[in-house]
Formats: sequence, structure tokens, C-alpha cells
Amino acid sequence: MEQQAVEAAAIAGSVSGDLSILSLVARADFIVKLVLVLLLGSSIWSWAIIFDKVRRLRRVSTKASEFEEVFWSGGSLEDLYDRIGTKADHPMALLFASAMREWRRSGAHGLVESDRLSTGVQERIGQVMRLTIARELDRLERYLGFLATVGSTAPFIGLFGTVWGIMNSFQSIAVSKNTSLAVVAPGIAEALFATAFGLVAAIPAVVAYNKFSSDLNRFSGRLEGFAGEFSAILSRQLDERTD
Amino acid sequence: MRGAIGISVAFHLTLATAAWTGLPVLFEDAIQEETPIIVELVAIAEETRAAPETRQKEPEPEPEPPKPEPVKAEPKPPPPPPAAKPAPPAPEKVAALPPPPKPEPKPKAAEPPPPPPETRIAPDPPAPKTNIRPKTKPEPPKKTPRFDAGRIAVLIDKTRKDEAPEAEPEEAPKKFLQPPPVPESPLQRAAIGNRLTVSEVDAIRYQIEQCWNVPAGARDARDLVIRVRINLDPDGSLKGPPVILDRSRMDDDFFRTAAESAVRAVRLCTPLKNLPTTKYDRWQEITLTFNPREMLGG
Repeated sequence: MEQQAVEAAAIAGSVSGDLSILSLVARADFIVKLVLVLLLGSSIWSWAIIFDKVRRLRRVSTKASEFEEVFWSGGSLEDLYDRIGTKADHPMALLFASAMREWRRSGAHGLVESDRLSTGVQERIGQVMRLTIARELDRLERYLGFLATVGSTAPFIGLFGTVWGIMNSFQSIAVSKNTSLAVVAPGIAEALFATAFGLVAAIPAVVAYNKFSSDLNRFSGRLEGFAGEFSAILSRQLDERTD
Repeated sequence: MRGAIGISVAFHLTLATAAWTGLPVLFEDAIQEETPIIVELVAIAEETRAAPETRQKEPEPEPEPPKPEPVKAEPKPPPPPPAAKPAPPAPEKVAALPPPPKPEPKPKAAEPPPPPPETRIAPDPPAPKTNIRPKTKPEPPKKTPRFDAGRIAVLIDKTRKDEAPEAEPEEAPKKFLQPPPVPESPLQRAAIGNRLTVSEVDAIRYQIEQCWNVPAGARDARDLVIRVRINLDPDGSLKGPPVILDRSRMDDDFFRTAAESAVRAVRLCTPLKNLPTTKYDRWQEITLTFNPREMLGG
């Protein structure tokens, strides 16, 4: 009994060392290290996406509010287009600019004089606005898929590292022919660290993905609402001209 | 996107440094490394679990004295050197400063600290410091005897084991890490009487408890009291297979598991140590009671 205790203590002294994170990682198996590096990389990339999206969505939203204020202030739309022109830098202004550009081109060629053509102009403007919305939303949604991927796969990748690490620690049991906790614990600790890391990478990604996709949904609704209102204004304008 | 990647990398670096500097500290708080405490019954006495100090102290003083002595030896040496050091410099000063009247320096040599001028102030403080230390150090020895008297009783009584570490967790491991004191040979003690005292049963029980894995997961684990009869050889090894009493309850799976664990414990722990051979006829057949309630701290 005493012998066993002494033996266990000796093993504990030789095997466990300290359990700080870095020493755990340093001792880990090559595959586990690879998994950890992979997870670290995806965590860095997903946080980069998060920071970028937060900034971009906030900017886009405030710019859209400012633009709407100007748009509904009652000033001439032609003036507004001249002012914004080609240097529109946010989705709503781009939407407005593309519609106005199409409107002007049609007007310049005198295509709006007949009734038949006016509907064609309206259709074209609607088409242009739809395309602009799709393009801008696509740009805003870029990289968002990566967040979803990280959110769903990172736990599994971490789990893979854990399973691998536990396999190793069982092998170390087989080698040392000793089942004492001191032999098993470090291997399991380093293995579980991989799962912890996977979860750390996945949780923010999932939360951010959900937040951003709902934000983007709202914003696309807002763009479509604006497009509808704008096309209504333009069609009224067309009808007034043709009459 | 570039900027965002930069921010993200910085964010991860801060997290990593936090983990590097902060988390290990947190872990240290959380994980208390268990140092194996090896304690054996020092000697087998006629009385057991006796609170009175007279009995308990008998075995204690033997292992104790060696430890306090080295501790004292350390603090004591320091004081002499400081005392010796101030003395030599003082004469030098006296020699360096001939102008002051000669009768004065001599008293100064006798009481070194005060007289030397302001330049001497620096060397002086160390002397008081070394003097202060011995005052604080003697305390541990004072504490330990008081602590051990209770501690032995606590260690014998398994049910109170949990409370013991809380009381003085820091000093306990240091004390018990040292090789356990060599117990008095039980043979000498046994001459007192040849009736098996309770403490010999305790000695056996204590040794066997060490090997027993309580089936803690069983239903009503607390009520699984198992009685096992064992026959021992004079050298403390098993003479025959341990016999489980209460065979009628063996139908219960949990009871059978527990009983088998008890038998396993007996097999693991025999041969038993430190049993007085002169009283062999008293302990050649013993009925052990395995009570999970005590092991589970109920």
C-alpha cells in the first residue's frame, strides 16, 4: 500500500508537471497541435469578419438613415443625383444613383414620350434597382458563410483533437502499464483543451452569424422598401410626363 | 478587411496574454495538488481514539523533536554573526577616529549599535531584523504539537478526515511529507497484555480501508455494511479466502459488488503489517466490518 502511494507520487511528479495552457499545448501530440492551429486560424479569421461586419453594417445603416433624411427633405431629386453622382459609397445611395442613371438615359433619348415605352422604362428601372439591391446585399453578406461554417464545424474539429488526444493517453496507459490518474490526466487535459478551443471559436461565430444575418435581413427589407417608394415616385413622374 | 484582421489578431493576442499571465494563476487557485499523506499508526496502544493527551503524546514526542530542532538551529546561527560583525567594525571606527576621548570608545565597543555615527546606520538594521525573525519562527513549533495531538485522533477516525485538511492545510503536507516516523516495535508493546486491544483491530481496519474502493455509486450505498471474516497467518498474510458473512443478501447485485470489493480490499492489503505476533491467537481470526457510511463521510 505504502509502496503504491510512493509510486503514484513519483509518477505524479514525473508526469503531470504544470497544467498551464501553454505547457499543455507544448506537450500535445502533432495532430492535436495541428487541430489547435487550425482552430486558432479560423478563430482569428472569424473574429476579423466579425469586426469588419460590425463596422460595415453600422456605417451602412447610419449612412442610409442620413440619405433617407436628405431624400425625403423635399429637395429636387435631380439635384440630389447631381450631388451624389458617381461617388455614391453606400447601398442606398447606389440604389438611388443607378435608378436615376437609368431614368436619365431613358429621358435623354426621348424614350418616355409614348405610353408603351413608359412602361418599358419603369420595368427597366425596377430591374436595375433589383440588381443593385442584390449586388449590394451580396457584398454585405460576403464572408458570412465562413462564420456559419466555423460555428458548425469548429466543435467537431475540436472533438476530433480530443478523441485523438484521448487515444494517445490510453496508449500511454498501455505503455506505462499504470492506470493512475497521474498518467491519464495530462493527456485528457490536453485533449479536452482542443474541444474547449473549438467551442471558444464556434460560439462567437454562431452568435455573430445569427446577429448579422438578422441585421442584413432587416437592411434588405429597408432597401426594398426604399426601392418600392422610389419607383412609385418615378412612375408618377412618368405618368405626369406622358399625359 | 485588412484592418479587421489586424484587430482580430490583436484581440487574440490579448486573450493569449491574459491566458498566459492570468489563467495559470486562476488554475493554481482552483487545483489544489494533492500530496499523498502517508500516516501509519505509530504504535499500538491499549487504548484507542483516546482524547487525553497523556496517551497521545507518548508516541508523538519521538518523531517531533528532530523537526523543531533543525528549525531552531537555522534561526539561531544568524544572530551570532551580526553580533560579531558590529563588534569588529566598531574597533575600526575607533581606530579611524582617534580625536574623540578614549574612555568613550571602550563603552562603545561594549554596546555596538547606538554609538557609531550616521554612516553606521545602514549595517545596524540587519541586526535587529535577524533578531526579529527568531521571534516569529518559534511560533510554528508551538503550533505543531498542539496541532498534532488533535491530528492523530483525526487521522485515525476516518469520518473526520475531510475536516482535518481544512483546519491547517499549509503545514500539514510539509510535516507529513517527511518519511513517517519509525514506529516502536510492536513486540515491545505487546508485552503489556495479550488481549487484543481495540486499537489492533483499528490497525487492521485502517490498513484495509486504504485498499478499499467504496462502491459509491450503488443504490443506498450507505447501508451496504459488509462483514468479512478473515483468517490470518502470524506474518499477517491470509490463511484462507476471506468469508463474506450475511450471505443471504448476496442476491442483491449492489451488495454483491460491495462485498466483492471488500474481499478485494482484503486481498490487496494483506499481508498486514505491524501486528504484534505475541497476540497472534487474538487476531488470527477477525471479523471486519466494512461500513460505507464512514468512508462516505455520512
